[in-house]
Amino acid sequence: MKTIGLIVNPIAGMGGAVGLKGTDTALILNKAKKLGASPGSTEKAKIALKELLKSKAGVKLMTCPDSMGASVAKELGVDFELVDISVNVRTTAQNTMDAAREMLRKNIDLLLFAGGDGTARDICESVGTKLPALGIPTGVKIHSSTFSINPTMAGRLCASFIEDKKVDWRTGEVIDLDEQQYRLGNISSKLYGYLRIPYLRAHVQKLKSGSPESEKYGQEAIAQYMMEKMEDEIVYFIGPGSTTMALTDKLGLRGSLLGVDIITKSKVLKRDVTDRQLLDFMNEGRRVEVIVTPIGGQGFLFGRGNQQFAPKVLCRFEPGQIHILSTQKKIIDLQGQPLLIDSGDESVNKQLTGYYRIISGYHESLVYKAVG
Amino acid sequence: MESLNKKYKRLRNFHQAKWDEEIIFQLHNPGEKGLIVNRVETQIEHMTGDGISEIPESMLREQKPGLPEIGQMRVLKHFLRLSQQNLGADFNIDVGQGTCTIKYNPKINECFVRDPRESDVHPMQDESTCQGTLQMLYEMHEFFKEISGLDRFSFQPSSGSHAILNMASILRKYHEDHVDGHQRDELITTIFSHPSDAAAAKVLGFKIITLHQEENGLPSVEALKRVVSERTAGLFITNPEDTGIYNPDIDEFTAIVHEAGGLCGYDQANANGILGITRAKEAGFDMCFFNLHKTFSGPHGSGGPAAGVLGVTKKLQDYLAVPVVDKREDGTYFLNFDLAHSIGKTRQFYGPIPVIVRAYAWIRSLGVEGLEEVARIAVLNNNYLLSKITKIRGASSPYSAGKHRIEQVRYSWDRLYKETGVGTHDVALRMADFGFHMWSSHHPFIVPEPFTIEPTESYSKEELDEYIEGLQRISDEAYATPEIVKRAPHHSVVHRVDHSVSDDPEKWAITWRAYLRKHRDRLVEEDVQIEG
Ligand SMILES: Cc1ncc(COP(=O)(O)O)c(C=O)c1O
Repeated sequence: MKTIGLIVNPIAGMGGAVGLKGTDTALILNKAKKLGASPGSTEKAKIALKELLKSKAGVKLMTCPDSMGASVAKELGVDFELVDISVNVRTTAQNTMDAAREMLRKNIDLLLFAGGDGTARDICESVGTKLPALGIPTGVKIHSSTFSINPTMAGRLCASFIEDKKVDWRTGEVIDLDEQQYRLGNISSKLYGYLRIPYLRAHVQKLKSGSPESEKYGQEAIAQYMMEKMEDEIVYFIGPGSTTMALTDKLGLRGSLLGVDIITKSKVLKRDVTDRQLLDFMNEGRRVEVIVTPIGGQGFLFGRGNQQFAPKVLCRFEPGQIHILSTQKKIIDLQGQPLLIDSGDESVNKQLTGYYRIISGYHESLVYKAVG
Repeated sequence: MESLNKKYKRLRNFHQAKWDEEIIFQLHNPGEKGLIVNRVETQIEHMTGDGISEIPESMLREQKPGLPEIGQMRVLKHFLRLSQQNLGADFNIDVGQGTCTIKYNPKINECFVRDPRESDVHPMQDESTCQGTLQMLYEMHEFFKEISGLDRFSFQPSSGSHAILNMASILRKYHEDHVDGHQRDELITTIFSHPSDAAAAKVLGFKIITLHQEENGLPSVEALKRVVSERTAGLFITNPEDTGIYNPDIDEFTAIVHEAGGLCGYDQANANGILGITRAKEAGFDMCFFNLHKTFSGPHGSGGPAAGVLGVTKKLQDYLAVPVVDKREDGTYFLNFDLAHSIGKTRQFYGPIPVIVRAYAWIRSLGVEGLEEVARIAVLNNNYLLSKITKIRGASSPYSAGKHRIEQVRYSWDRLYKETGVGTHDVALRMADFGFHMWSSHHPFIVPEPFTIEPTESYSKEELDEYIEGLQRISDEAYATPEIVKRAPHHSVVHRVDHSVSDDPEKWAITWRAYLRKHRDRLVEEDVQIEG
């Protein structure tokens, strides 16, 4: 029988309804409560858990005290084991991290966490990809692709997992905005790392045309094609992400997963650079092109998780010098919504708006629009 | 349930037969014989030998083949039982397999195929002795010239996908023969064109560029302009696309590709809504193909036999696969293997003749007006369904809301899924409880929770209403008692199948031998008799 961990961030989502963009500090949380925010996180966690419990397969539940999980479990009348952590009345990020570490130590099979980007970040920081995890989206900011599309789906996926159905695994990006900057009106976000996320291949229907690709092979095929397209004398600014990382791996280079690197086909010139360093490099006068992958569940090409590509850098590129790598699934999941460019400068956004040939497989590309 | 049963009077109280039939290999009974081949009569043996001892030693098997030994009658029963466990086109109102054009296959056409004058013709016999068959092929050729406006046809391709492969071969050869053609290795298609358009071209080494749809469901002219270049080999496109939407800019598409130096191939596998209404020629195509096993009434025999007749314009006429059928001045017909740039032979002999015979009979029985009427009724049926299905709670037809479609529609159960948790897979399984089939779409699912319905001209209004009632009832159930749908099927012999094994190389088995190898442990555990 499988053991599922449940961590609820009970205050996630409180800022959104009142326009506060997250509740990462006590000050903001108080403000949110004053403005009349009501806890929705608990309710949503309950929906997911209820869906999970519909499964006939038995499951052991491990959760945290009080509002961080136990109260939800009690309401549904399900047995659970408590992790041994102390929880503040006003729960904190530290509580989440302690709980996740404890669950990793106890060898649970899958961690369900209810929260937003901040919660995903806490899980990422404490247990990284060592513990399979899946987010129930209850927070205001969901830029990370570590969440199920809704609480019901999270529960259902988890049910498939305990029923020993074949689920697939992918690495999901954890992205968080800098809330302080955000409230000042500046967007600043960062790719913080990855979680190991289960997913179900698009409903395995009658396989009239074969099975959908697995993400790993998809990324490898993309890397192979991009590698063939790369030219010896061109320097590439390569953005963060597991898809671009698959390319640096294929080239035999040690790229940085979360940062922007300056590379050629055969070596890394500079790792994990800032926007300043990119600019300085451009002044050296070498031919430069950009390789990026859309980040997170919302399809941002620039402006989320890769802010090193500042307007001053981007304004020096034509769309034809920007190579986009993405699995077809990532694009289809956008349901027709264009890729988004939010560089922080309107004229740069406009300059880069248009159709792109996204490399989506070996010798395969998808023509798709990006708008600023 | 009671009240639903009353409300939906058209739906049948269906239950599928279940025979609990074993795999044919498990019916193996050593010594049982299906057929005993007589010895050659002595007189003949005297003249020709026994026929066996002349087989070269090196070709003889060392071991007996691992085939099951079963008497004829048991074999017959085996297959008849299995046939009762499926939902064949002659049982069900088979409108749920959109893009496959399941229509009535006139039974009388089987008589022509089985007529000894057709069935006893040997492909190696002299041309002069099978002029009738050649005449039929030649006349078919003339019909397709008329239907498409193109100039020459080949009957070599044995399916739609094979026809696409033929088109890709022609494309490659054509560019190889032209000075500026060598770097032309990019093939453009669209996301709602049939997946074989991309796949078959990719097999030949083309790099595939797929145009994604815009909000109206169609690819944009602007996107096409952005990607054509001196590397463009051509465009392969389905129109109407899998959504049933006709691309009104199609002539602009072909013009842009021609301008860039590419060729255009039209996937007309699904021509059922446009017969006699639009033609490949006027839309600017250089090549096109038709699936005789769809539009032209050939039965879909579970993956075959099929035929994808392929036509080209004058410019490409010497590139076709050989042979083509030609007529001499004296009025006799012959197989012409002598085309200057031919891509060669692409199947054995001269084409899937029985499939062509059925289609020939079908076309002759309808005539010019009849073919056009087929298209008009198919479109009418489709739009009748469209107006009814979009009124069902939870169902929608994404893109171009309020506009008519051609021969099929890719619908979505997205709303139903979001509101009730019942998705397209659940609905499909529940449909089986009423004796219906409902298919989703090709992978990947671009339309969320898709289902694709294509009614053709064959089904009556009564039948369409019965099918609609099935969908309506399941929608009602989803909102009232979703568990009924999610646990379906209830009246079918196969229940929910875990398809994930077909994604798992450790488990999948497409032969009995592979099955034994990969699943021996389980078989032993279940105490299944295994041989060999
Ligand atoms: C538009 C279209 N093109 C091509 C094909 C492939 O035809 P076949 O199944 O004969 O290979 C199909 C079949 O579904 C189709 O619908």
